[in-house]
Amino acid sequence: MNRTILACVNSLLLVAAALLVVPVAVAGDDAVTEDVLVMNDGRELHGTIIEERPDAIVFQVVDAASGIRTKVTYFRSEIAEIHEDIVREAVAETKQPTRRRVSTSEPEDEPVRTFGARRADAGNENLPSFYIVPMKGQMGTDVNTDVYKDMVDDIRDHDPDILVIEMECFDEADMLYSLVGREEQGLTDFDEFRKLINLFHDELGDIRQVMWVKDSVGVSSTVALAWDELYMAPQARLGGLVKLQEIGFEKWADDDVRGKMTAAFMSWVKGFLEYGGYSLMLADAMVRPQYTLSGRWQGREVIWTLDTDGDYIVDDSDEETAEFRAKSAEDLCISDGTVENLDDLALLLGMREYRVLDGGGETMFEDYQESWRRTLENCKTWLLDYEQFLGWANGEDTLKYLGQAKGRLEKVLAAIERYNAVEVRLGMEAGIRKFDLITLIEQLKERIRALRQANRGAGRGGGGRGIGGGGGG
Amino acid sequence: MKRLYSTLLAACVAMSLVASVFAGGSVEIRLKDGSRWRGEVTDLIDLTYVEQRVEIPLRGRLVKAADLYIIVEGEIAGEVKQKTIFRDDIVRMTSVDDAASETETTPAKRGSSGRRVATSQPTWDSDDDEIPLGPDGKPLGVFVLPLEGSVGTYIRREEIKKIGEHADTYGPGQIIVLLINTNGGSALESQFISDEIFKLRERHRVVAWVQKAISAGCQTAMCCQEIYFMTEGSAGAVTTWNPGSGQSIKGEDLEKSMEHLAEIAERSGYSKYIAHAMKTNSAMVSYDKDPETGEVTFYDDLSGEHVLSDDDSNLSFTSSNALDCGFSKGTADTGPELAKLLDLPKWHEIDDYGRKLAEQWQATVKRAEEDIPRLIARRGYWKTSGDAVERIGALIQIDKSLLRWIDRAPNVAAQRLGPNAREQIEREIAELRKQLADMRRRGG
Repeated sequence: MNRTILACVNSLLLVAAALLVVPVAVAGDDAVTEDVLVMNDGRELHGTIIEERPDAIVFQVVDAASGIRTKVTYFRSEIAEIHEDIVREAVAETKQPTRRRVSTSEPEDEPVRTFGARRADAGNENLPSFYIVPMKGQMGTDVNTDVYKDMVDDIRDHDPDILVIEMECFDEADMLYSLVGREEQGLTDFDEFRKLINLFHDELGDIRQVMWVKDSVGVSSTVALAWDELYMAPQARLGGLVKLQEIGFEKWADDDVRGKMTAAFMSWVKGFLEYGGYSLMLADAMVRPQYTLSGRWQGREVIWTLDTDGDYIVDDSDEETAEFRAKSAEDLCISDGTVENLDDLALLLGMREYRVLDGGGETMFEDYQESWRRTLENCKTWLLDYEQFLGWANGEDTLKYLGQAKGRLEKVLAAIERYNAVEVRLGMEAGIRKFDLITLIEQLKERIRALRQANRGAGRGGGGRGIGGGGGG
Repeated sequence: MKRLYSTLLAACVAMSLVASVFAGGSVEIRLKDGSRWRGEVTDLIDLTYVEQRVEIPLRGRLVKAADLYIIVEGEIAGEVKQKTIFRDDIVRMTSVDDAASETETTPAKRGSSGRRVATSQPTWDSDDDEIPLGPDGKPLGVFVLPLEGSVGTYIRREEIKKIGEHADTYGPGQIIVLLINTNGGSALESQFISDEIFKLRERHRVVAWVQKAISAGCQTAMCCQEIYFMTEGSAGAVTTWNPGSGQSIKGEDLEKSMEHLAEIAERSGYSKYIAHAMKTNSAMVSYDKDPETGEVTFYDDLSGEHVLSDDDSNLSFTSSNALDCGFSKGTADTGPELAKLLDLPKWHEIDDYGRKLAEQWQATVKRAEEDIPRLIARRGYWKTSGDAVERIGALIQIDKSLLRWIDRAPNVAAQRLGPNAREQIEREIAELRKQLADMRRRGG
């Protein structure tokens, strides 16, 4: 009996020892060698083969950014080449560029490219052309329909082959510390963003469009996901949609009202993903912290589920939303590739040479951005002036300063009418609405009119002392 | 490497075998530029694909279209062979023997083939060189009525009634497209609108084209004979609630409200379970879809394969799940796309009556929404300013302006001034006139 128990204990100890050893060998970051899978679509995946099945390989990958280890099953039909026990340093050297497609037949003949495509002179009409459309800054103010409406004609004039939309909008520069104030965070004006997307899809729908996410944290991520061809910069983020919770659709006390608001809001958000052809579950997981998210592969397609049962767990917390980095987005087929610059992008789009059109898009965007922001600052100064002039409007100078106060408000009103962004920001920062301005101006006009009338009356009565000099009594 | 070759070889053999079994099915292939080729297995095609980074043209017959690749039989290096081409490698693809198929190569999203006929972009005068005629010799086309903004203010029964009367002048059976973009609004007005649409349906074909149909907007859409979505479209969340208290209706009121929407749903051919799930969280809806016939069966629990709403959620559709379960009859982003779904030869708006009607009413409401608060503020200012005669004169003018708004935009005025504003204002004017007369009498 004792012998049997001892044998069992020994077996258990052996198993335990084996279990202790295996993880180190399998996934240790310090391992000298690693396995490399070269996929049919050109991706090189670095990690460790855990299991080889007749039809599939179970592969463990380590996310370089987060250090998270994930077990993924790849069908053999997806894999072009398998390299086992490659010395890590050597792999690192050949990692640039990681998107290099390796021939399955004669790899030794394939030239190793260490660069992307070549950007040629803009005037070379034989080459495919890019037109750069910036989407940078604050969503809703810097990025809104107005500026792009003006750009449509310029794009049409230049007739590009590909529109490259550079998305660089983030509500948080850093998770822990940010210099960006709340007033600079993206607005959640979904109707406006729908118009924006419709503009690109409708007015320019015949031109191939590529969304290149340089960084996207906040509402911009829903907009980015409205494009089905999406690439990301190596350090780019795609997420931050937990901010949408600030709208408060899930904060209603009444269950049915909360359900209504949530259903309505989430179906709007999902409409953006419908455009891009992404799984609508991504919207739930990216917006609502209570959902977890995992995916499993079916061929080249990722099947998403709002649980942790998939092969790749993106979010296992019911308190945080799903967020993506460039690599995870690419691995999970949300992004079509990771590109550092236009050369890389062109290469992934299948071009050896390309040109960037000398279009006005970037200039128009920068001019607009600079102009409305300068106008906003002017408005703040004019509002201070207004208050000061109003304070000085008494005694003999009443009429003079009331006129100047009115003039400043009229300038603010004109600025608001010119730039919707200014109206939005003045509302956010100073609580001033267009209606308030109009009312104040009208009241000032009435006061000025009444004063002038009184002055004229007093002038006539007192033998013509002139405008502004009369009254006083 | 050997194991790779043998795997590939086995795969190729398998593909060839499968190809001979599955023939003649309709196929849609999404190309790199986002466009789609639509046709059938056995179609003769011209395609260009990339191999070793070189673009290679090939003419041949489509033998098979699988998820990841297609097989084309054509002349390759002087011999008729079958070629397996991964879908990702296809650059261009057009039908050779069928000009119609060529025109089917439409952009996956929205293309230049037709601008979106959005509420804000009237395109009724869409360069029609030839107006299609029906068998009776009358023009085949649609009347479009944009319904944008909140129900009860921007969206009213009056415009729906008017577009119906206008369509009547062209005879019965006209197609009226209600272009819906709203977050909802008044439940009461929604009821009037429902009644008006059902009356309209007796004479004409009423179609909802949904950009956003939330709450009362969804009820409006559900009254129509057919619902179509735009890609970004959403519809649902019809819970009745009081925005003042933040409370939804409960008990008997909720029961009645659920049954009312269920009745609308069933009159339009939708499951009552959909209506229930749009009203309250606890009502569930799921469905099964027959893979052969496409027939959908709904359940008021979670037993169906596809869950639309569980016991903790309200139901609001997007374009894809609405289409899959049959709530939507199709997805169209442009007039020409909708025309195809409506079985019309082309998109033709018979006139712009509905668009102008909507535009005029929208403009009136916008002006009212700006002007009424301004008048109220002005009235507040004048109550404490100016000399007495001037003040009374100004107040009478302001009150008269408010009365004019009560006539022109009664719904906006009721929201801003209260339900009995007319009587109060008329009384105030009488009072002010008396004050003025008294002052003049004293002065005189």
